[in-house]
Amino acid sequence: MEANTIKALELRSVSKNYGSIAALQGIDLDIEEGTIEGLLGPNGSGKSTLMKTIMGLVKPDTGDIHVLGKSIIEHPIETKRQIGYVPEDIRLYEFLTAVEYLDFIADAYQLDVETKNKRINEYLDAFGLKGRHNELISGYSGGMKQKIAIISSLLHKPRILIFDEALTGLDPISARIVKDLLHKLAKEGVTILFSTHVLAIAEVMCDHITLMHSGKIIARGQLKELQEQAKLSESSLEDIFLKLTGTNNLKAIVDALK
Amino acid sequence: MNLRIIVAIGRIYTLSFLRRRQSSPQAINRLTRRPLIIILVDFFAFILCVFLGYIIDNALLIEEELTFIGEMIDEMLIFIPALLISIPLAYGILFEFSQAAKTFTTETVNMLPIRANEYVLGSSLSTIFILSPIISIVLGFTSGLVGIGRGLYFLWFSLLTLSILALSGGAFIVEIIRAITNRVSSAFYSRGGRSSVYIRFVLSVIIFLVAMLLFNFNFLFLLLEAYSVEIISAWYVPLLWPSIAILNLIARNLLLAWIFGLLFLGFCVSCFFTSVKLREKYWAPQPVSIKISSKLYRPRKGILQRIGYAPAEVALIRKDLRGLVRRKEMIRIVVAPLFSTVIMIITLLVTPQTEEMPLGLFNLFFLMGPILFGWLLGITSFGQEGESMPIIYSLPIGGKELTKAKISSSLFIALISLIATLCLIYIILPASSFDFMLFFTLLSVLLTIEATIIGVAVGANYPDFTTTPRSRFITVTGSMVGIFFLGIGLLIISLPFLIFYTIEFEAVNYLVVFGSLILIGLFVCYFTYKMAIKNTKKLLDRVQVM
Repeated sequence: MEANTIKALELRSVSKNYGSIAALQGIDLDIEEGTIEGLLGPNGSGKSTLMKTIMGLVKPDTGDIHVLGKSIIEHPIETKRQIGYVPEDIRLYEFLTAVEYLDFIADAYQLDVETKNKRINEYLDAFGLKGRHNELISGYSGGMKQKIAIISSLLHKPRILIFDEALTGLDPISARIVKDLLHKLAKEGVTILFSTHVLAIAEVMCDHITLMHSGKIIARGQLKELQEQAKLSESSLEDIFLKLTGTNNLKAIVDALK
Repeated sequence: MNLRIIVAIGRIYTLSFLRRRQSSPQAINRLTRRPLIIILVDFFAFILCVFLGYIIDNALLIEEELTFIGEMIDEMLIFIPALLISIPLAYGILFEFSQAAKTFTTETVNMLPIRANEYVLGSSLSTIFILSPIISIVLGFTSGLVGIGRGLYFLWFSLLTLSILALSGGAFIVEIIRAITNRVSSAFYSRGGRSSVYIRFVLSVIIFLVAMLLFNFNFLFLLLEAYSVEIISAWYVPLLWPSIAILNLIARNLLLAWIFGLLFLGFCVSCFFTSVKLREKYWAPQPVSIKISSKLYRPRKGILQRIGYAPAEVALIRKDLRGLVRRKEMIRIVVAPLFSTVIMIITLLVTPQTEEMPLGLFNLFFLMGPILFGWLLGITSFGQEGESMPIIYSLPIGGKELTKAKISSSLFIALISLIATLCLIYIILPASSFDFMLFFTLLSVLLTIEATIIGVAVGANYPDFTTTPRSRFITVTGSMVGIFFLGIGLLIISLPFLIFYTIEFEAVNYLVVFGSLILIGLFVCYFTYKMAIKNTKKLLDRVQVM
């Protein structure tokens, strides 16, 4: 019974300041297992900081974060084992080949030889990197590097996936593969937290949407609930986003640019 | 040739040098980040050195006992231009080989309508400008000493001209090396394959070493001294032409002074044209994609895993070793200890050996190469992760695993170099007894291990993750703390050796010597290892890197 009450992610009063800039302000967030949570917000709203904080890459000034019931401060290694993460600005070891890099990641997650062999080959094949897997990553295009980062986050079959703008730069086929894969994984119980600026993707993919602005969560729920909060029934996510983030007078801004 | 473009290129490279440690956008406006700082340093260095030169000259005139200092200074003046060639060379090579791929600005320059000669001159201009405080020191010192002090204005002017020429020559040689190493890279990149990567690495190291040796003033004199050759007789060495010119000028042999001065000018001009031609021919405008192998991915359990290393540790060791041979900016870390080893070998070879000089206490100096290897690789092991450090943070890797992996990868290289060094020492300098040889071997292994662990321990505490045109991978404080602890650690481990050596080694019970060495060595290594783990854990705790 108790196992059912454990959330995939639990954030309590999480705050983070960079000097005078409040990157996160008292964030409270519970995400259930097996859901796809979209994290939206304008640039600098705190999405990436929040994701890094969940990963343990940024230490919160205040608050507490639990991943599958375990504190990220007390159990950093165990919690990292449960998460697959694709950062916004990917930094891979460019002096390694794709296969060497993925082999390194698989070893870090302690996958056995057979499993890593099977998974790495499968993913390389699926993402169309099979013919170029022995080339140095430094020679890859941005999209190819993105694919490697996505594969490395999936290799250990994590229970939580955190994708920070992970679909940016992917070709349509790979983007579709990732989207379908995320749906499949969510059905299998994997929790997915992903940020995007493409609102159409968020609208189609997410079970829940969290809208951030100036380091705070300003709205959260399913599309219908957001429409109610914004008092914009039948409106698109874009309209809701613009209204809730206070970007109303776009025409005036565009006119001023003329 | 467009002067505006040359100045623009020079300015970009100077700014990139000055802003290499830019920590915040506001920092760009600081005086220390602007070219003006170099001009100010030039000015104050000049004034100070004029004053210093004048005072020294006056002191030499008053105190007759100081004549030998005067002679020393005269000799120093002769060799200033020759010495100045090696300065831009050392600077340029280090700068070139330590450039991270992402800060490799020539790729941007390649997209622009810039001629090879404009690029070479612009790049050299920046090198000369950055090193101009050295010219100011020479100019100031000689103005005070030779010019104002002694009234030898023509000598002073010649010295100054040759010094500037020497700096320019050094800068052009750097451009030649850049083009050649680039040729090495592109030729092997286009071939691809694992062996090509190793050959490229070895070739780059050789080019680096040969250039450092060829234009190393001390090394040249070591050779000249070994073969008892007078400077004036070494007319076939271009590096010495400016010195021979000055020497002839002092001897009032104006014709020869002019000949050697012009010869040196010709040498510098030919260096310039060679560098332009090589840049035109060998510069790869785009990075080539490199295929390491064509084999299918089939992982297997390696030796390290079989001997007890965890998979994550093996993965980290493999990554670091691959990075060492594939990353351009890592070559200097390999070359620095290698250079000292090569100098050591040459010193051994050119110094006449006698039976009275067997392997002994003095020979500890020859272990500098392997010790430096371990220490340097260890101290830079965390910083070299650079912007990829978040990958380590996001993986389930603990402090102990990370420390073990970093020590192992650094130690692996250091021990290979130690084996080679020991073989060489034992061939050239036979040990007085087998027991002594065993003792010396054990001591050298312990010293190398300790140096590596100290490196990792300090490297974890003071990493420099910034990816700049000249990444150090370790903070300045870290380097100093590292040197301090290296000295302490090595001294403690060497204590039994030093004590027993001074109280007649042969008479002491070997068991006592071995026992104390092993006990002290292992204790110190264990203690430092624990410190390294603690520091790595602290590093993983302060995760604010992204």
